[in-house]
Amino acid sequence: MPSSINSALASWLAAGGSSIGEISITPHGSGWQLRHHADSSTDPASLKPLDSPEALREMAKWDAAGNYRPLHSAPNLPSGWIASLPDLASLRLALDFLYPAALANWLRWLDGTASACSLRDTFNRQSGMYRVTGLIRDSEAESLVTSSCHDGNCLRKVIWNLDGTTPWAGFPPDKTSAPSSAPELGQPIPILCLDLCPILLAAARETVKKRMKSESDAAKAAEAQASPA
Amino acid sequence: MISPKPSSALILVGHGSTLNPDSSQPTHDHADTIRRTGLFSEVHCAFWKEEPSMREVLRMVDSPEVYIVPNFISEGYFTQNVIPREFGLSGRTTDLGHTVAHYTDPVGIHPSMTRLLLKRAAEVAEGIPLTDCSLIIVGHGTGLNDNSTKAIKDQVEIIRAMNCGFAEVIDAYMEEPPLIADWATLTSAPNVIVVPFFIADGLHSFQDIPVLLGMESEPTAAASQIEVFRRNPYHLHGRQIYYSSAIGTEPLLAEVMLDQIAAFDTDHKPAA
Ligand code: SF4
Repeated sequence: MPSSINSALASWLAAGGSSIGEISITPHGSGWQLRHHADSSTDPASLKPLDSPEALREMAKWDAAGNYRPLHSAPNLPSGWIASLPDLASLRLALDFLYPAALANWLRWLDGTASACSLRDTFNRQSGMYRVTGLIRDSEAESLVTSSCHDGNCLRKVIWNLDGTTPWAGFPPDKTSAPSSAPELGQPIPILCLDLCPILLAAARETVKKRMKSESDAAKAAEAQASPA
Repeated sequence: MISPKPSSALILVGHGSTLNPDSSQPTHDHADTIRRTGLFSEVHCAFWKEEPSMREVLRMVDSPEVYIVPNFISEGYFTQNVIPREFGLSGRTTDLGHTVAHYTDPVGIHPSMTRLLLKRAAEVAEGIPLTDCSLIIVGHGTGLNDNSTKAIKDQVEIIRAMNCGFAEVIDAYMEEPPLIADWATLTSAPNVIVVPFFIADGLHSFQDIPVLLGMESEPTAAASQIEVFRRNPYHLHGRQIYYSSAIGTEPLLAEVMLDQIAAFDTDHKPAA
């Protein structure tokens, strides 16, 4: 069956589209070649050849120092490789592995079928050990998001806001908005964050638990002071 | 084997981890296997703790129908609460607007898991007569995983009833009796085969249980981060332990996923 995502990807490539995240894509025979932006002027013969989407997935699992990369949009994708992919289907799969859902988020955002879920809505629907994230204060959320999601940690654009209306004060405007140019224009594909990630969810839990603990410690100390033995 | 489904996408849902690099690997591996069969128009993975999330993966689906298969060992909090909530499912079949989602049972409760357990046991202690072997199927026990205890007990019953020749077949757990740490008193045969009933070689099966068995004095690095994979057997208490990797890493699990989809079609899908 024809795939709307694959055909949009084909249009983007036909328009000269070549950049997503830290990766550049160039036509190569009847297929495509991928490499890190940092390797754009490196002699290809000195780069490690990779030949499948699965090999790219494995490469992207580790940073240059060999540490696990749980966040694919962190700006620490290793360089030093060149991947040759034979066709559009394998390119699509490779992009889905390197920047999971980035293509789909972007295209569904452009056509209006995907919307962003605010931090409050995400936290308020949690259950189990994450239910407590619903208790995060606005000021805690602001500083957590600003310190976790900035470009030095994550290349995604933060499309969700605090509660559906309140924007983040700590980001430049281009961090919280998506360019609206159609695939046919071949502009770099923005990596959108429409639903905050599990790493931020876990960090929010820590923030709330830490505050609750210090509040309860302070209350205990005050009680001890009020009733000396 | 199921017949091709050229208008259906498949999503395998795993737990994943932001800390352990091995947690999501089996889910990816099984997705690769099924993708290569060409049975589905698209095959994607989604995770609770990794990308893409369950919300995101639905946007990747271009097909009018999608099967969602939880790569979980049993029914429980994730399969009954988190996955339906995150995907917006209201039952077995949910019309999500751009696609119709079919939600299958978790892979671990399919009857074909018995075949996988026996295959793993035979492989790990190859050449040892079964009559000289005790088989332990080990799980987590307690808390959020209480249905996994039932899944393991069911498997033990089935394998016992098959009379395949093991000296004994028992269940044991990390955190509730019978405790895996007591393996030496729970079993009597000179060889003890231990198969972890987990989805991945994550924290529990690769790092914690070997310590409880006495194979390691402290947890090792993650499976993918140590040079030499474990070498069976381990000689402890005058016996031999053969420790297998988690049942979820067995390549045949991809077939069990397809079995689970076939079971869904038989049990829940009205004839077209
Ligand atoms: S919440 Fe989104 S923007 Fe922030 S770190 Fe996670 S993926 Fe990146």
